[in-house]
Amino acid sequence: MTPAQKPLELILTRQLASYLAMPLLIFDREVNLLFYNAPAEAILGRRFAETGEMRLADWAGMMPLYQEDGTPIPPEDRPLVAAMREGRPVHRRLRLVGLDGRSRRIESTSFPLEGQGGRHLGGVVIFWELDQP
Amino acid sequence: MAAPPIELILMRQLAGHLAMPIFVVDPEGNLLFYNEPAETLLGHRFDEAGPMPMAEWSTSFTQRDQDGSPLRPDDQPLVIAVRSHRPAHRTFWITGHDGVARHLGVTAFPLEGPEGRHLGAVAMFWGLDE
Repeated sequence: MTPAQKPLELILTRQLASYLAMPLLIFDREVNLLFYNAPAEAILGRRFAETGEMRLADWAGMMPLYQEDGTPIPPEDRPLVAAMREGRPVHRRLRLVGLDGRSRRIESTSFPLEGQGGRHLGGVVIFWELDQP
Repeated sequence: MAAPPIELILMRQLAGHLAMPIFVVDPEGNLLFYNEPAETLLGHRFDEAGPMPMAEWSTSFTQRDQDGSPLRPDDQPLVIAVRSHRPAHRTFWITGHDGVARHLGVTAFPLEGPEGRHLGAVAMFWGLDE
């Protein structure tokens, strides 16, 4: 993806994310992955420096999500996609398989980022690992 | 008065740029800041309200459950996020200082820093009847 100047709100979100201990992912308004922080790297099983920015289809293929019962969640029903489509937060318990091959139960909160003047900026996913070892 | 942690400074800065109503509290639940869109919902400017303890803000606005019964502070998402360090979500009715009842969705989540530091929590509000 071509680097472009990001909106200030996304820059601030990334800066904040880099200080937090909660796994946090940031997406742009087209749901392209822009960034995930170090705590997310530990769960996803790969450093952001290795994956870089990527499109939703690539991201969804690399990091599939499942209902708690193991049913796959299609890309269009991923919590953040639903949150951005509906313009409100979405909360869900689900399961992901990190790039380290380990399946984890997580609780996720996804919400759109809305800027002043009705600008749709992107969205954020924060998750908490359930059943931590 | 000690300077707030960098994470709370950044959170406040970010909230100041966003159009979603946002409420930020410290680890004890003391209100640190709410942004301009939240002022519209609460019917009160932050400059006028200022920082306030959890016991005050959690009872300052009339909050009612879906069935009209008063919402206890312990059931409010932001109070839950502060105390349990977990996200919490709810829909309810709030009547601000302007006397207008609004139907809202609230998402609250804790802010956790490195080395297990509990930094506070954030609540985001969403109008449900717009």
